[in-house]
Amino acid sequence: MPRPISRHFLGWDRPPLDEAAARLIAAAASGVGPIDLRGRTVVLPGARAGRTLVECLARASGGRGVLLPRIIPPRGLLELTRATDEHPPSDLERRLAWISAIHESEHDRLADLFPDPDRVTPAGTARLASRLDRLAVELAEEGIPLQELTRRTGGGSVPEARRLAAIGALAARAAERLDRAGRHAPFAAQEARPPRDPGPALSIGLSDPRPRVRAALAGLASELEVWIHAHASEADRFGPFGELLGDVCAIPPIEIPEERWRIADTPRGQASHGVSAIAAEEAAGRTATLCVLDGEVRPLLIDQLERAGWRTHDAAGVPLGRSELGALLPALRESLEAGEVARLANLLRHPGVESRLARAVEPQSNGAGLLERLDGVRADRLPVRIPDLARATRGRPLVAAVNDLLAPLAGPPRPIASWAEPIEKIVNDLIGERLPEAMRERFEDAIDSLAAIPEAISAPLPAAEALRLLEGSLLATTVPAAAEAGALELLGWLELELDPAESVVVLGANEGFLPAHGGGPDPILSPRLRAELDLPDDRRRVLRDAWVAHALIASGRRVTWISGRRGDDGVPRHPSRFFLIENAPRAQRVRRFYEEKGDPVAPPPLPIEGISIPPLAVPRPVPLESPRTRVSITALAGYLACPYTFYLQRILKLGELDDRADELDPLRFGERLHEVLEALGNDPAARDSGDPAVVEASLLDSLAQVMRRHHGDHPAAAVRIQRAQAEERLRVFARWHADSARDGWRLHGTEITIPSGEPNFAAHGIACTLTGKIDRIDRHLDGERFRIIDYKTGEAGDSPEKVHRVGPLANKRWRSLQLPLYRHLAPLVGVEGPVEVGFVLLPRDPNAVRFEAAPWGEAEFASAIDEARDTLKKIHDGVFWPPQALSAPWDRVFAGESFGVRERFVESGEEEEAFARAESDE
Amino acid sequence: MSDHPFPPRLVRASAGSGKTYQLIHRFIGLLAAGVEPRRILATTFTRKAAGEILARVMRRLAGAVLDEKLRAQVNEEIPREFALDAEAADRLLAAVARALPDLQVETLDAFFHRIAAGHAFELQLPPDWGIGDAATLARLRRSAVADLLEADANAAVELVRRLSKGDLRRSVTEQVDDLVVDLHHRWLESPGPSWDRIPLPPAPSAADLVRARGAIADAPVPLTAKGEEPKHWRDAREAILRALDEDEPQRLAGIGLVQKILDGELRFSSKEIPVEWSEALAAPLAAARHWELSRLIGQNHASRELMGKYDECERHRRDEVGLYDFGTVTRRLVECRATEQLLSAYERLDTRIDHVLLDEFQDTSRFQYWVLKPVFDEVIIEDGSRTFFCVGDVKQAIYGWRGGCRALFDAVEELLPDNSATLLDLSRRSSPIVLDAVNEVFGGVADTMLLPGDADTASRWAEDFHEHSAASPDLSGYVELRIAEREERDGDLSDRDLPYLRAIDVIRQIHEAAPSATVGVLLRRNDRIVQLIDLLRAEGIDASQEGGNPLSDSPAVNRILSALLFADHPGDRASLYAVVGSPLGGHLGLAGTDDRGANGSVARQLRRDLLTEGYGVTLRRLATAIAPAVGDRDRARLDQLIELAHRFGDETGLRPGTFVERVRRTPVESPTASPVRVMTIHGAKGLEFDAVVVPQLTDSWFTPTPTVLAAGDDPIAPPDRLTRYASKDLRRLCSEQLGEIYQKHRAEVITESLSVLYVAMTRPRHALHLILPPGRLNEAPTFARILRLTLGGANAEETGAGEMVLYSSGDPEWARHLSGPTETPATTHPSPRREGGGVAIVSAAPLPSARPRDGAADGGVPASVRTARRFGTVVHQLLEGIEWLDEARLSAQLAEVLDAAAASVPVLALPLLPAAREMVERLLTAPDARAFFSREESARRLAALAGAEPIRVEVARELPYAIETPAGLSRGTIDRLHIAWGEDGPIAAEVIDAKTDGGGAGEAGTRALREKYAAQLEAYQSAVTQLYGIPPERIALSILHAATASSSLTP
Ligand code: SF4
Repeated sequence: MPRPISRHFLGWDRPPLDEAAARLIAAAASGVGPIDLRGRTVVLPGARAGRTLVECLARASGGRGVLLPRIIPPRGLLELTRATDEHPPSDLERRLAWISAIHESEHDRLADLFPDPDRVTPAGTARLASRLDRLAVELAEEGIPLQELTRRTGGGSVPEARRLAAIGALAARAAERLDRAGRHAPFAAQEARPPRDPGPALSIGLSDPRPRVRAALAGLASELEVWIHAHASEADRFGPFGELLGDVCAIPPIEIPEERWRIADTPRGQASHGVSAIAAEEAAGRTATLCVLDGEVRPLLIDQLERAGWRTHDAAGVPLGRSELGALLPALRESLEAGEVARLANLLRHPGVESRLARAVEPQSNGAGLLERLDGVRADRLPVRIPDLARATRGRPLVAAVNDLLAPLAGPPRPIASWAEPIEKIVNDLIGERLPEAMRERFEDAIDSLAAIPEAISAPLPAAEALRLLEGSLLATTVPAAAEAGALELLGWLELELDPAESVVVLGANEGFLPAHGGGPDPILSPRLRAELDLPDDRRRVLRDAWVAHALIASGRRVTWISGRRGDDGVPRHPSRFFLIENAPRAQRVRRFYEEKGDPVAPPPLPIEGISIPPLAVPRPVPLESPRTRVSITALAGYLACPYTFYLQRILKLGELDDRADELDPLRFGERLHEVLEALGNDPAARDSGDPAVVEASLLDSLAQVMRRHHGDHPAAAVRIQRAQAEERLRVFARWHADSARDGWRLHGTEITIPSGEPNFAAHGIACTLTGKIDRIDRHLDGERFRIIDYKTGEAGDSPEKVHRVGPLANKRWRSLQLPLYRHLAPLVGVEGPVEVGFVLLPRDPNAVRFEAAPWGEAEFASAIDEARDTLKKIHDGVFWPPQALSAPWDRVFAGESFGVRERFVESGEEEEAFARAESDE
Repeated sequence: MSDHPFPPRLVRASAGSGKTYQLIHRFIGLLAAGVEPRRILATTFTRKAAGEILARVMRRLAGAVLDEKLRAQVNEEIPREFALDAEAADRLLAAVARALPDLQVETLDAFFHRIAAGHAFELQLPPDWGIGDAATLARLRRSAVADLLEADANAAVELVRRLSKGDLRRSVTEQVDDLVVDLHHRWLESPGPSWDRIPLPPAPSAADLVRARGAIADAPVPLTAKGEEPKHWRDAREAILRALDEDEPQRLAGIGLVQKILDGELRFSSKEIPVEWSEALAAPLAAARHWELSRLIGQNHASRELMGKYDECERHRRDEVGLYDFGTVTRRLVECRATEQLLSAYERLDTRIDHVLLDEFQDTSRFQYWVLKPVFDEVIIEDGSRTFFCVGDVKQAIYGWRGGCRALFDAVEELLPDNSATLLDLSRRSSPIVLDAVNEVFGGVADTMLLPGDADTASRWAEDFHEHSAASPDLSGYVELRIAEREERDGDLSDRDLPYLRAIDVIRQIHEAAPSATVGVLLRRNDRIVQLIDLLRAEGIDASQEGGNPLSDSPAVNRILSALLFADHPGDRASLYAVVGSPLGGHLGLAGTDDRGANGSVARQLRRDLLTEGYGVTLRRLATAIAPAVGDRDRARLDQLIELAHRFGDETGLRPGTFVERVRRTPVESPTASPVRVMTIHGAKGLEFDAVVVPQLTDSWFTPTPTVLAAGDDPIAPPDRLTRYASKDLRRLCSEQLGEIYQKHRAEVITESLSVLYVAMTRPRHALHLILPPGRLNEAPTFARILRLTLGGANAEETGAGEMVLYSSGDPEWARHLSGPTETPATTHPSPRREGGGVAIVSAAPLPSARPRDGAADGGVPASVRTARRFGTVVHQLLEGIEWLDEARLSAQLAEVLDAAAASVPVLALPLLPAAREMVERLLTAPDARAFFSREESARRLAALAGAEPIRVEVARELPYAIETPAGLSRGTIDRLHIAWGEDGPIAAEVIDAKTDGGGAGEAGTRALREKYAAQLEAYQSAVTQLYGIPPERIALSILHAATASSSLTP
């Protein structure tokens, strides 16, 4: 039996909720004591409108106070009227049901969806489930059960019909699953149950109630009033439930005084305009609200407002993803899913996890070194899989601690509900204390939902899937931002209409945002299908947005519109079409938008005035407590390149440490090769063999051992490739070595330490100690002939000359002193007599493997020793400034500083030339 | 030829001739003819350019509305029958505005993306697929390579073979990445037998080889004057014989004498080669060929197999995350012939395409073309109802390396009726002086090539070149080609670097003469851009990279990035050192680099702040600490860093290092664009400058060598012959098998290089400075060679020892005539906000909610908090159901009431119901508590309180109230309120609040609870006073302690 619905118009004269409150109070104001509105239900478009109404009611009651009606959003109405024995599934249950349905479906059915169902991955299944669920929910809002998709749509191509039928079949399966579990899917076709009666109801300002809400309103047993924010003369625009009717063109054009349309070049410029506009409103004593339509502008606006001294409250809320919880859930899941070190490194970076595990792993240092330890092992061994990390002594305790932590979540699949408790416990243990109230509640609700999932919905699953489900319902949501007294409100577009502020500043008033842009083409719902199903489409969205704009202006709000010419990627934006419609000074506006320029308002700067601190500079070396006289031979080259780098690296012993490498750096690659070459000296069968095959076998065998020792069974991809490269080089080297044995050279020693127990070098009267290890010394069969060899594993295979000296032919200077010093110190390692020094090169190009002797004469060697003396003196005297050419990592750390510019430029030229040489094939 | 106003048209528009102008007016013409805007597809290659097309259409129309002269201009460019008056132009503007959301003015990628979005299922894309950013795609690629290697150990060896040369600066990972991209791309285009097209010639028989060995041993050698065998000849023979004896014929191709013979030369080591040699070498060379080609064929085969497997791995990785690149999307569209099912495509696009306008068509790839082709076929008809328009310049086709295929331009012309093509060679950009040089160079380019094949290629290129003329013949200009001279201050810089230094001098001169003049420094490669900019800045010239530099060019930004790296890697003491030595050290509380414990905590806290406050807020805090220590430029960069932090900081996840990486990769234009811009020539496409300086003219066109050589006969079909790159030695040996495929590659390189030079030379409006390093004329084709031979004239062979200026023309003082002040953006800061400015602000003040959350126990967070809260809610719900309990029928009544109340408990809380019910039952059987639910007892208590007997006692449960107080809004819900009424209204009340949380047993527990909820109860008390006018002293406040079944009265 149709029940009387009465429509009432709130008019434009005062803020709509003030008007509504006044009317409510007036109707109930008889008697004494508080004004009693209990027993009524008021449906408002959103929670914020609800709060505003309460304020208005309290104000309108005078001092009497109000006993409040039940105030709910449209969704609340659905819950309120739902039959008590009807249990809707939670979103977790729905998604799970979809996944089960997809898994159960036959291959052929799925083939109606994808050309090749076998290619669909588990993650793909989860994504498809979410998409179908969103579709189902959207359709349910419109009162259309998903299975009916095919029935309700007539046309379409054959493949499309097949696809829809397949989706319908999946929906039926999912609904059946839920049904068996005692849940009633919103997308299931079901008999209507008698709704509950919440008593007399009133809807205020619902300009776009969806069919399901309309149905709920229509189904109310008691009296229903619909209060519409419009003037009574506009009654024709609205349906019985206050829904907008008709077309955009029926809505009067938006009037904008030109001075209240501001245009900025960039998102940042828009924010600055926003700040200046709000300042102007404030100065004029008007209450004001902000609304940001363009997501790029929002954070910039908040940033600038805060710089200018405002606090803000963003009605959009705080995304749950941006929290310790939001970071923790996926990190836990990924660590459970894949035994990869990278995931573990991620998990350990979580502050909660780190502080928990630190105590377990590094009790002595209060855990300070947990990440350092992990980074250290990773940089050294590049483990990809966790067992390879556990193989390292330093890695083992880390892995054990993580395993302990994850133990409650490990193990075989279980009924999904049973994961709720361990997940909750682990989250509470790790971050419980710090989780903000609102997020905690949201999390706990989700855990409740998880715990309540009946077994009938899904087969047992591992904990990772439970976490994935939780992420799906939590991470995309937001929680209300903590309210702050005196904060500026940032409202959503649809909240503006019922907001009482006198002024509104709208940012992002560009096409695509005003009106809001539709989702673009959709693989399931084609535009034709949408139209046939009468789903919300662009037309309706435009109508709604145009109405809001109209309502703002008609109700006398001062609106400032701010548009941007470009997005933050520099791509041009266009003005909102609302500004260019009928009767607008279109052409002038187009010109203003496209032809003028500039950001007349600068953003509030970072605060600097009144604070005086020394200018930022590269820290100067601090004088040493005792002079440095002990230096390694290879370090001298570092000093010659840049004294400051030497100071940082060798004196302060500072270095970078990270886990970015996915391959061996040149240093470590060289170390591996050196290890192999050293081992050759210890293999009696191969060390002096003239048979390349024997040498090769020995080398490759050691290589295999060395690589295995350092990198385990599953080395990183790049390490495998490097290993293969090393093999290639060693093969050629084996030939060289055998040749040299046949030529009469014998390995005299490998890895020979230069004695450094006491000073071994005098530099301008200072007793210095040079330290170092000689890679290899050969002695010839024919007597006292030696050669001192340094293995060079650098990619390019530069000659001793290139490595040691630089500059134009006439004026070379030393940049390394290694070979001359080896030669100079040779007697200390028992090498007396004629000695040649040189490199054995093992460069990238294996064909270039060879011995290359240093080409210098006595005078040059002597000049090198002089250079060494000068250098050691400078080190002794503590001369470490100014920097010359900083090398890694300092070039990165101090990038942008103005020294070493020319050196870097020259160097880039050298590199370029080397590249061209290597690549040239002409 | 058709006579309707918009015949199919293809415009070959030279640089600066205004090709987009053509397209805009075609667009406007169609609108004027009444075409619905959304029926027009207009595409180009960058999103910026696409936005610009629409902006220009709008601007043009607005101009036509407001300005008669502009209107006349527009009418000039559109068919006369559609000439616009102001009103009509305004109508068109309205039509475009209305159609804004449906306009199809976009990049080809965006267009394809739209089609694919509607066809995700057919394309086997997950329903929420997306386009991955470069870093993500690279990560997926690396994972796929790892998967490949895991599955196939030999794959590593195969990859290594290809890495033995290559750029030594780059890591193995980067090289493998490039290699895989390159090979995979080739494989995708030509997956099939195209890799098996190298013919394998038969091997000579063993007997032939034996015979040949003998012949070589005996082959005559021209003797020296002394009658000896020259050493070179002797060595050559020995080397040949050794190669044969050791059965390594492939070594032959590396021997000088053999090379001469293979090259067909007649002399070796200045002696004539006796004819016996080439005859004797025939069989050994055939053996070498057989050996080499077998290897090559094997490698080609392996490459194809490898890529097949790799493709599977990559696909799997991408499917898992649902992220793809535009190339994949385009290919899948081709594979499933999406556009051929146009009807369905249109339907899902919600539109139809009747008119096609294509900009920059020369850069279209083959795959893109195949997607578009069905659309072309539909619209290329001559009745005028559907139209086709395409503009581009094959001379500017420089994106071959990215798949651009210039031949498509000609292919499209073939589709059109005859005479559909027009030429535009009138430059609206450049001075006639510049154009003279351009004409000089490209008119004579074919003659600069040494090799006949190269000359053919160059003449083919030049067929598309027609003499350029200037739209403004009076535009001042200057062109100079010079050799960089060495100066004192250059020190030991190598000759190679001199052009850059002289370029700096030139820029300084221009800059001094006309500070607002824009200068483009164009480089062929991007390796030295950053260093060159640093150098320019060090020389006092503000320069920036086109598109901006990453923010890490600012020391201040770097300190913050170091802080983030330190947060990610507390053991990174290099970063830590930089932070400690900056204001950030103090701000973060870092004492030094040594206290690992304290530093670790700082790092952790910083990570936590980043997670919870977000990157934007945290970085602003850090920037505020460092800003006072730096100058304006750094402060501006800090601001931009904060902006980036807002933009993508929160996508970073748990690793601040990823954000740092991203910042280091993201170029950001400095807010005040410097007039001097450094960029690659590729990057300069579409741009123009007052002056252009090109200091990098000598490098080889043929480096880096490609991974794969490819050739095909049909230029618009994929190559049907592919092979791994063959070195020069190999090509010499196997010229018959490999010559042709290499020639094709060479022709492509030359063609594209000429286009690159063309683009560089056509960028300037006024001046062009071409600077060579000292040295001789190259033989291989280079820019330097072409410029010397065409512009240098008699000076072409100069080395730099004599004449330095090889060519100059025009007015070297051109810059003085350039006027126009530099623009300075206004900077008015909004005044900082006064505190307490006395202005009403909409308040989001927390409503003084009178109910602190019930249920949370003190201190710590027990695991059961959730349950406790939920449990509390259920208990409240049950209690709410009870009005009065009267003694006699207690248990029956209670059961009934509780049953009713239980019905409203939500399904999630149902498991808690039995316990809650038990608690309520226990509570209500405790006499103390039960007294609160008895009407009589309440009446008694209230009478005592009021000092008078009430007429009646009312109970309100879960009473929601709101009231204005001097302190603001007060709002709350009272669990249970008993009001005693007298004659004139309420006389006393009691507020009863139920609590389910612990608080401990006994007196202490009760006190704790009381303290905890005192404020709440007081708020209730004053609310009741205000609502009912009952003085506070007549309002009793009670807590009902459900857990201990006790109650307590608040004094
Ligand atoms: S297209 Fe727009 S203006 Fe035209 S009738 Fe529809 S809503 Fe109105």
